[in-house]
Amino acid sequence: MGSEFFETGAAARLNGKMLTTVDKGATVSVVGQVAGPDLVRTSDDVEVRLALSGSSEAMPQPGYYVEVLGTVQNSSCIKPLRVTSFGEQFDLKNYDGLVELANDKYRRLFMA
Amino acid sequence: MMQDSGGGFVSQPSQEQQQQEKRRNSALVPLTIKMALNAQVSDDILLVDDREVSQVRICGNIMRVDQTETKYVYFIEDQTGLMEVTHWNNAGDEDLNTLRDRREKMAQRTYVAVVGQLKSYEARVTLSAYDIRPIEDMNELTHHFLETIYVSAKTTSSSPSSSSSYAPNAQTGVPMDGAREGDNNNNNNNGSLTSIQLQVLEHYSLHGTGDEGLHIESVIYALNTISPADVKAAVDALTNEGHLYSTVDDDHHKSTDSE
Repeated sequence: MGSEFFETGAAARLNGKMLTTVDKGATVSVVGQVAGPDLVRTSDDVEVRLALSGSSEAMPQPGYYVEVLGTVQNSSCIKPLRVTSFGEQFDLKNYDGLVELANDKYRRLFMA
Repeated sequence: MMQDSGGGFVSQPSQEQQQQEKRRNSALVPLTIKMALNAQVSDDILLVDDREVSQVRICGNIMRVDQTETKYVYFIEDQTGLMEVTHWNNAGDEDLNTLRDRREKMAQRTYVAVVGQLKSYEARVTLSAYDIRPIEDMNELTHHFLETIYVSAKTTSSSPSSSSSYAPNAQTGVPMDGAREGDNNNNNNNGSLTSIQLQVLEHYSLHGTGDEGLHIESVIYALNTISPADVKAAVDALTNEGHLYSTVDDDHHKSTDSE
């Protein structure tokens, strides 16, 4: 699961609430702030858990911004393929606006 | 003036042709990888949103790097697609030490910004990079995609064939008023603006919606990836072109697009 990402490079940029709209196993990414050892508060302020067991991905320290790309386990849990630190300064609100546009009006520019 | 009457350059294109060529190809277009891969190819010309593109910018994450004597080949994804980007060792004017230092920072899993020429070869679209560098402030990624949306919206809304199928969507509480479609179908083909001018104009359109518009220093502060001198030059150019106008004093400007 998720391996097709490495061939297509396609993943859905989502926020927390959109995770409820995708199927289990879908490849997605969310951006948020680290809220605990396996917890991220997403750009729309929803808590998402990372299934880190068996993963070689490491979480940045709390307070850092992070992008989690992985497969959906359930509407509030992602198994990460790649965790990327976005540093200590990042405009989450602006990113969330982008996610809304990329999933709605301008979907054709981003998704198949 | 020195003139060589011996000839030898007879087939040189006229100045006018050169000018035209330059104008047609000069705009740097921000794209998602999906848009680049889906470019329509006709003869040697690549079309995105029915408009010719040549120089483009993409931002994405390096999935793999192949290194040879003469070039680096990066496989870059931006979550909309995966693209092959070739960076020749003689690309650009950088000395090789600078290039080597920078390349060391661009391993797998690094976010990078690439400017280059889009090419089509045997039905495959690839990018030949003039410049590739790591993204240090990740807000640049957000900005790149917003700019991509903005430019695409402007391009498609100014083409007469596009139907205005964009009904206002009350459910999307998107804070980016300037990116709304259908606001200005009249005169907004921004194809001749430089990337910096577009970024500056976009900033005014998105954030300078009050009566006073924005103070230039706030724009310089917000667009910290662009030098203050370049922001000022862009504001001057945009004012001369009629995209911006000054409001309460010479330091405040507002986009002619924003209400």
